[in-house]
Amino acid sequence: MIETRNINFYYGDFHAIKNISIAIKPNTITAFIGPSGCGKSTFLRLFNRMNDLIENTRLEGECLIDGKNIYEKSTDVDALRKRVGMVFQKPNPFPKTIFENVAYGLRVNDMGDKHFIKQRVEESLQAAALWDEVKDKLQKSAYELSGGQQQRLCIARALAVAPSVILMDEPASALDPISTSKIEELVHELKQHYTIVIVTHNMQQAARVSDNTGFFMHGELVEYSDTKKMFLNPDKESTQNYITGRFG
Amino acid sequence: MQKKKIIRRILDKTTEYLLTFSGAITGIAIVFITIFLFTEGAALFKSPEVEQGYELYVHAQNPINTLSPAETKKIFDSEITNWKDIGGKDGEIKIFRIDDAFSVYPEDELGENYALLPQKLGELIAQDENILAFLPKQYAPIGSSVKALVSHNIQPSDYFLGKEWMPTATPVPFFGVMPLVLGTLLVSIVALIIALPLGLGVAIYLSELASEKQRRLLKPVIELLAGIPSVVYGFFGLVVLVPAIQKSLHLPVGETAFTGSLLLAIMALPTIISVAEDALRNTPRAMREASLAMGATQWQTIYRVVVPYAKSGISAAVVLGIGRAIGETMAVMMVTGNAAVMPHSIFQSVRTIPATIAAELGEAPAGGPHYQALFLLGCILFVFTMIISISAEIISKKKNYKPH
Amino acid sequence: MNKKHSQFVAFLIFKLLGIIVVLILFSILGFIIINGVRVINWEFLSKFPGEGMTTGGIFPAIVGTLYLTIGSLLFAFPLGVMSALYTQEYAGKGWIVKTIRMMTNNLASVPSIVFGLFGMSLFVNKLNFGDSLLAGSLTLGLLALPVIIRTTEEALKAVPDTYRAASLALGATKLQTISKVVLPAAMPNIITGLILSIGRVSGETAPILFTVAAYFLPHLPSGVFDQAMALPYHLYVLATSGTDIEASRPMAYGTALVLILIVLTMNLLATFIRRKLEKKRSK
Repeated sequence: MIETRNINFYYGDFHAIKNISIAIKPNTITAFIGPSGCGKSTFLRLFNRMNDLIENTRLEGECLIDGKNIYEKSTDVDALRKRVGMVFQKPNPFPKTIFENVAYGLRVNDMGDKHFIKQRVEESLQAAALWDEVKDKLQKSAYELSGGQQQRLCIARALAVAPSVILMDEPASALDPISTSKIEELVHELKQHYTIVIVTHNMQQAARVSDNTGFFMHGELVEYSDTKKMFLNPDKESTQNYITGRFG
Repeated sequence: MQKKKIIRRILDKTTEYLLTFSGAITGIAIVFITIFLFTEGAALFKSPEVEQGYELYVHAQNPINTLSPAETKKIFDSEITNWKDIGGKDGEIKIFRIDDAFSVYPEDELGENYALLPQKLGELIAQDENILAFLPKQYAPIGSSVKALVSHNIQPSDYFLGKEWMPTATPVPFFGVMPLVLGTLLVSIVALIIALPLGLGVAIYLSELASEKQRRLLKPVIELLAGIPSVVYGFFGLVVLVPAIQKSLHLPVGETAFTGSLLLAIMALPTIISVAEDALRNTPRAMREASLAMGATQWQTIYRVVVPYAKSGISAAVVLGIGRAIGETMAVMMVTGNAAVMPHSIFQSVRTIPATIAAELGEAPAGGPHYQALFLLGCILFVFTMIISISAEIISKKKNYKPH
Repeated sequence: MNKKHSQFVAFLIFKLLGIIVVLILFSILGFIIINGVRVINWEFLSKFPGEGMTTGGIFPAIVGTLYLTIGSLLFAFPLGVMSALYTQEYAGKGWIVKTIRMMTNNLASVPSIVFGLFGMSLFVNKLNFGDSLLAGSLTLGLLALPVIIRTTEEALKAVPDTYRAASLALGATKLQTISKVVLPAAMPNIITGLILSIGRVSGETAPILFTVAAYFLPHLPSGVFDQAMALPYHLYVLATSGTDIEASRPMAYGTALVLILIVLTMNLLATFIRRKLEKKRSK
């Protein structure tokens, strides 16, 4: 369960997120759509405090995950990020072997012994539908994989530490259509075990994979509802315009 | 109109040739340097072992035909005093130098311009079967009972493996470069051992931990320090480091290999920091974010992702640092004491290759063996740095993993 | 919490390291500045050394270094810029360019004392210039050459290809394109490289030891075949082989500070030009 209460976020003087309150249910897929620069990625990165890395930023309001405000002083940010995994826009595997990429999170979080790690790597790669393609070359560099495979590797890497939430920041935008459909299938599979929040600029994708959709514009959450309703019968005119404009 | 076009075309072509020519010249410069160094240096192996312009003479009955440089040295140092020790007849070796002739013969007996000297020397040698005369060739003794010892040319093995560097010793100079090569390597390697962890640490601090404000203040100062002339560092070493090391370590002198290493390390720090920091900062943001998003701490991200990613950049910096250290002349010369002996400890005075060249070239007569030996030292230095620079190039081009 | 502890310890070490190293480096600068500032005045800069280099000034050394710097760059700057133009603008990507680039790269890593050896052998002995400003300038110029070539190449690379295409598309010849479009655009960066190499050349000692530098001269050099004094060599002499080393120590501090000031000025100038250029671009 993720919930934000009156969140405002600033880059210097720029008001990037304007008073957004939202609730995301567990084991659902939520898509954030909107034109570029609308704040959807910034909003997503609030959930695992990735925006902390950017200097000269400011946050107001609360963001609760499982009932606890993650912006409290006492929050263990590393533990939070372990619980809230993230997949980035461009595949960003480490310059390590395929095995070590997936094992990375387990190693940095001191999770289990050699045997456990080995088992967990296999499970994660299977969950990410990559195992059959890479099981014979686990010791090869991750950069030998294709772009789509790399992105699934990054998903496996995120799954390995057993998060409860997975954030996906336009995970298929850098991929070809076939790889994209594989990722979408995968996202659908993962829903059973994880809460997934996905940012996309591709509305068809949002319509295909998500249960709920939020439409962002100029830092505001214009509309947030069931995906079917959003695409068939949106409440707001600007949502309608955006969706039809893109489809038309 | 037509005319203008033609002029333009000619101008265009001329410029192209001119530029091509300049490119060729700069390319050839290094070939030129190589050729000059090596021809001057290689001439050493065509020089005789005995001091230039001199020769060793013995009585014709003496069974000895040649002496090795080591034997000659021992004889003249009175470590060997009997011919039988070197395979001759029993008899005490009697050394005779040109100066001795003047105590035997009054100057007026020698004729104008010492014209009679060769003959007199011949007589002198004829009188004594045990004599070993070290004489200038221009007064080569005349007489049937005089025998000049066969003098070999200096051997490459004497030079490259020799353990004694005594370029001005008489009658046989020693050009063994081992003490200099080892001195150079010792000073440079210890310097690197000091500078590397410090430099890397500061680079990590600057690129990962320091605030933007601190970085903007420190980076230019570090760049400035990298540009300060080595002679200024040498001066600093001389007035500060040398006495400090002498006092704190209770050494007889403060000019030691360690002082040189310390100073070289200080000099290398700005370069290592600045290159390593650039390499670290070149690690893509996506790598850091990926690691942090997995719940890794900042420190885990640094040593598991950032440093490995910057590895090739950092190693190139290290290798270039070695090259600089090996070639550094003035600062090292000013603080290492310059004793050309085989180094046994780092708290002892040593002499490096560049310091030897700088200190001795001024006194070595052009074209003589000493001069040639110094050029050959230049060749060794040149080859060292070439190997280092080429390997740095290979390292920095080689990326462990290439993204698609 | 284990990984948090190790982060704490590691960062503590790095911060300490950073502070220590920065302090050491700053103290070197501070040491020379504090000791040197006491000595530097107009007399020090404008007078000849006196009484076995224990009094007076360093005027001839300043003039000598000025001559040497100008002389070396007169030769190295045009040659370096032209070769960079050749490799960047004219030559193809073939093995000739690769070889030339590799050779200039290697030239940059040759130790300065080796340049000194070469300069002595070729300019002083073979060409019979003797110990002279000419021989010293050529030797120093050779040393500056790879620096100038590299910075010029970088400057030319930074000029967008669209500039060239636009000019050529308007019917300009290659020469016109280079002289009217490419070079002006690259000039600030080229000048920055030139300024930095001034800093480098003016501080070099080893190459001038046997090609020009004089221990002491009672008069200024009057022609290119004269010997000259030079700041870095003068500092070396003052520090190691003056008639009374203790008494000439203040002179040495002053000379060291002048050398640092030259490098500092050149760095500031280069930064200034770079800043100005960046502002111009962003407008």
